[in-house]
Amino acid sequence: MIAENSLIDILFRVENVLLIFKIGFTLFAILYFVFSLIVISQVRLMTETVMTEGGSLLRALSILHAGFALTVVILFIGFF
Amino acid sequence: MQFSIFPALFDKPSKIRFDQQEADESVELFLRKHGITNVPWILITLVGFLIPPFALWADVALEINLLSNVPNSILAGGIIVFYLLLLAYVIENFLFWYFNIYIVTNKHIVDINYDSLLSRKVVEVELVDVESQSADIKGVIRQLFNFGDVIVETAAERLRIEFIDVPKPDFVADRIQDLSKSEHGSSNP
Repeated sequence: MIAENSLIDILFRVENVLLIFKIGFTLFAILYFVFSLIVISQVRLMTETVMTEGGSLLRALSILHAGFALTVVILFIGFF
Repeated sequence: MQFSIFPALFDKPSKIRFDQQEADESVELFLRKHGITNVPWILITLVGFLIPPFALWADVALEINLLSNVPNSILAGGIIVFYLLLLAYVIENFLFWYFNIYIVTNKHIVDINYDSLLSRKVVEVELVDVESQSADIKGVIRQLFNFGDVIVETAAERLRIEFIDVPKPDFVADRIQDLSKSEHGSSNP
């Protein structure tokens, strides 16, 4: 019982709660970065299937979006 | 009623090509779902965009003090995660609209389906196989903005192609009929 209480105490210390959230946010940001890479590949595939005027703009935007997602990963790792 | 923020019908576009296009084949119609079909997800996005500031305001104004007790770093992280989810929702919906394409050429009808980020399906039928086509406009919104479905029945393996929510469905069905007739004429001299 004493051991159980001390475990709960450790888990719910402010710094540990912050750490759990930081890990959660970072994992989410990494998953989002993976999503942005999938978007790049899908946009490339689709713009190769159908060539339109907006295709190159869309490809550039998808790469910018991946850059933004990577920035968020760095932000979560570095600042939280 | 016009809604041209998202153009969805291109008549004889000169700068649009697709990868299976033959050398002597020209694109007659290039279609997507009518732009007005994007309104629901745009409205959801706008509401979603306002949720975090509204929640912060309500927390202070109504003296709930739930969010004000959360550490700033967790609050900021939560807001960033929320906006990333919203951005993913916008991207998925926009790409779904942008890449679900119907192409009518002087030889084929091409239906490019983009179901999700990980799947793509291209259905192509020859115009000589087209047996019938019909336009279907159901509902007030569709009547108001002149969009609906075009259903093309073909002889090839009883294939049926549906152009869902495309602008000017009567015009599209009429054009497919004209092209199909001329293709039948050229194949049976």
